[in-house]
Amino acid sequence: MATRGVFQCQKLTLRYCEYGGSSRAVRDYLKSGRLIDWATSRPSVEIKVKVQNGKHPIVTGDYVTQAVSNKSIGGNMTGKQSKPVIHQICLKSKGGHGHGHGGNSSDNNHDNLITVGNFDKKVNKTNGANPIEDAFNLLYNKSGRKMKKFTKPIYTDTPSIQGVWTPSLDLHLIPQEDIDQKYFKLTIN
Amino acid sequence: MEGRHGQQLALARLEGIGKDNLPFDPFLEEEEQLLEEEEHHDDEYDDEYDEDDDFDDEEEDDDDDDDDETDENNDSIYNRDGSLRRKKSTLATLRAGYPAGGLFAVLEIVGSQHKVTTDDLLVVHRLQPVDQYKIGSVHTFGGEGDNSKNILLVGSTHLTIAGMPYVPGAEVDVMVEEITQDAKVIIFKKRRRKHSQRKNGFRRDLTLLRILDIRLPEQYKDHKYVGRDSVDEIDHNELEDADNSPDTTVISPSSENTVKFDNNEKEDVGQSKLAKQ
Repeated sequence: MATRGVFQCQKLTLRYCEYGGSSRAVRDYLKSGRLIDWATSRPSVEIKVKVQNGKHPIVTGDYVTQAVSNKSIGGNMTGKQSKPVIHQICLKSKGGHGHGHGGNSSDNNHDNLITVGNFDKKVNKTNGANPIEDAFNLLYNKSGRKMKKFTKPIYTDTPSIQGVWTPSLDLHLIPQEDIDQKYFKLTIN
Repeated sequence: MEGRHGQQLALARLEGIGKDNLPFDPFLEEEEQLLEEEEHHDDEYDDEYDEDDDFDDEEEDDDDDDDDETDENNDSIYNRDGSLRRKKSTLATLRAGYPAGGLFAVLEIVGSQHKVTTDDLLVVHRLQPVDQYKIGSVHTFGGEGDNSKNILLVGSTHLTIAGMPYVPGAEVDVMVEEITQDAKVIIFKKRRRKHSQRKNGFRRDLTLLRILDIRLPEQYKDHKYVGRDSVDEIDHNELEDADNSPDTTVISPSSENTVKFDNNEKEDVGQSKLAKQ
């Protein structure tokens, strides 16, 4: 997410387990070292990797807008406390799948990884080859704002440039000589 | 602004009066008195505690908070969501239909057409390939190449160019702000008493685009129109007269000079010419 060029995703925290089967995919990913390539190609994000044994693996995103709004939670005049918006994706993989299980085992990671949460392989163009990177990209591309439905296709401050039409605008009464109207052909290459 | 049409637009201008001021609070005076009393109370304590470490620490904490707030308020022209920071009165006039000035265009993107000005946020189906349309990337529609067939109409306050079907030479700069999904919509269909129902969820893939700049074709480089910044110069604090309306500053895209129109010149379309007859 980049509002006016300012990248909104400040930090991604990757939390995984050293022993559990659901963290296997994450451990493989970390061993392969692809995280470093991903991180260097996006210098605006700080990546923190944390070990938490006995838990499923999770990526959490911290955003600029979120940081500021969480500050003011305690001091609201109306007394309402807004829930902090949390952006998390769980990166569980099924530990039980072995080789030779059915005819679908084309790619190790591809079959074993099952993800929970708003996570779709078609979201990014790694073609499902690395769903963990897809998760990172998902969080990186977001802003920290609360998920609200987009009601309009355009959000403007300036809905009118020439002035809003009013019934008293009598364009048909202007004599034709006063309007500078031309037709000509502009060629497209 | 002359004529009936101009008067209607002038009413839009009146929408903004008083929006900058705080709403009336009957207890404001009492609160101010209480604050003054507290300050006097603190002054008494200052005489007793001249040198105190605790006092210094409190000052430092206060300064930190102030810095955070003032940085955001003073430095950025933009709000947190990326829109331009404008006064509340200006926003009210614009929403009511006051001419904002500048350029607008009708863009065709991903199969849908939108009327667009600078500083707009466009919500559009996801632009593929995602590697090309990354967040923070800037693209030009209407130029040459893949994106040349996009602009259907360009206009300013004093000129409109309708393309047949496209306007060659016009360009629109766009920045990719966010690549997400829309909020979840649940589609639930039930036939009652028939033991038949189904429930589906749907999230639309989106790209959010910010319009940075619109440019007319080269033949119209020297065209003069009312600039976007003229709206911000309106002073809403005074009561409105016809004479008090701002001088329309005219900015030509290529030249550096600004030319001012007189208020007496014909700004309104049609009515003044009829009056002559």
